[in-house]
Amino acid sequence: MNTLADLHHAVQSTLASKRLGTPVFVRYSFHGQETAAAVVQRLARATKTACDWLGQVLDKVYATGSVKGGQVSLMLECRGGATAVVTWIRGAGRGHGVDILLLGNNGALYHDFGNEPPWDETLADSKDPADKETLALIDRALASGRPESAGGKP
Amino acid sequence: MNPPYGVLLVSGMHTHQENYAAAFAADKRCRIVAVTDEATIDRRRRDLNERLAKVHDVPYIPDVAKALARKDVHIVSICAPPERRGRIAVLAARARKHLYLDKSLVPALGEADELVAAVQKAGVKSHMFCFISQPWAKEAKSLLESKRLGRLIAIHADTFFAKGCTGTAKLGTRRKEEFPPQRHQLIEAKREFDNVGVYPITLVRWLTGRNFRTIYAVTANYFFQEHQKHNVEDFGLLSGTLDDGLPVTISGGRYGWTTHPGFGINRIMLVGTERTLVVDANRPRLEVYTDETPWTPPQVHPQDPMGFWSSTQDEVHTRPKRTWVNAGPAAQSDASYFVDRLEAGRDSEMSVVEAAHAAEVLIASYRSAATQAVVTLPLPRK
Repeated sequence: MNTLADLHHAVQSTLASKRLGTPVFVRYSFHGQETAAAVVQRLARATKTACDWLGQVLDKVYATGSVKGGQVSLMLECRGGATAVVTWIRGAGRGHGVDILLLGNNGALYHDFGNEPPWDETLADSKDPADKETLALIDRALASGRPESAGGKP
Repeated sequence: MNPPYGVLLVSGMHTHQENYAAAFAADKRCRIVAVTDEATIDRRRRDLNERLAKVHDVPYIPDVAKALARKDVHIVSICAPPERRGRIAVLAARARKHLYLDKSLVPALGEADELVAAVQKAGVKSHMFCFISQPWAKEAKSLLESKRLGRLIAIHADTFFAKGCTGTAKLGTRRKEEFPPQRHQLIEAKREFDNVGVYPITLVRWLTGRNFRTIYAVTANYFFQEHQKHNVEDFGLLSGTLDDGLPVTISGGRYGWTTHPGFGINRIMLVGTERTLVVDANRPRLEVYTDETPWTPPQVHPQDPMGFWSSTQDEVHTRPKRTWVNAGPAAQSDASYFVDRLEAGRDSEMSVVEAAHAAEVLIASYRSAATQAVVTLPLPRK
């Protein structure tokens, strides 16, 4: 059975090959049926994954949507200037329901439903708890509706 | 008004007019009448304008006011640079000509308002170049209207042009955006969120019928030293909401010749309560692999290093990318869409009113990027 870790490993290996140059932007969208608390956990893990791919420290998060509303988007800004959008969508998407666009300064990586198996099956995600600071930052961003700094100042 | 419709071209080669003029010329209902521009343009621009006049075997009229006075002009296609576009469009509207406008509309809010007022007062029709006549865009609208997604709860769009030699920008620091933006279009760089981001912005408005309400945006220099040198962005990212609260994210820009098998990623994700729909300009497609020489980027044209214009790319023998072959219906030209609307006596779905809202979204995006704050629309007027 495929796991999300397998997909992430493939992305990380591609980045490590330097074929894309320096990563600058990630759009990471995923579908899921989690409970509210689990959604924020997944968003926090995905946020860490995006920042790891970008190789930069998270600086700001701006959230739109809501767990109750069935869709949350986090716009991430990193200290070195890289950016990302991490999106959770309630439900099951096509294939594995995971969609990745990763831009480097020398190339791009695409992964969407067209690259996934021709059946719909949600990928098993890690059960590891998310980083507490990232969780708190996302909670603040969801509550405030404004850009929230990782340093605690808007 | 009956065909043939006389089309006056404002500005010539090394603008999108190359493509727009060809589209009008290919429409049997239209006839290119002349090329014109402001009398005060520099020698280079005049030479380029005269070249387009020669291509279409029509006169060059060096004073736009005189050209607009011609009775055989019904449509004015305006591709003057953004900073000159608004005042020429206002003149054309006052001359009671229908307007076909390059994108994005104008760079300043006051100009957008003045143009909308001039068009409404003159009672002429108007249209800004956009993607709404593309089959995939129509499909997206049709699917939305069919309610197959359930209730729409978010839209995410990515549009990038795969042109230019990438990997030359200096990375590691954030771009400091200026407001208001001082320049939009140079020989070797453009403001790419304005140039490319306008497409998904207009699509979101067209698909939903809703205006943007809040904007939080970042601009960046990720790919090209040319853009960095001229202090214009090659990348933009917007997170906002529409006036009904619908969240929208849009990324757009220019990311290099070799980053995509076709023209670039161009897709819109419509998230509904029942399902998610991804509408992609590059699907449906065939993928064709042969023993042909693999595609390689063209030589850099000194007058167009980013590959903006068709003529310059012909001059450096740019080969078409042929791995992906469109397997969907052929698109109607945007120009023919506008002529259809004129014949039906209906305004375009991308009239100056719609285009002015997109201009306001772009202006708000630059303000947000400069201030690093959420900006609420409508923007205050003086």
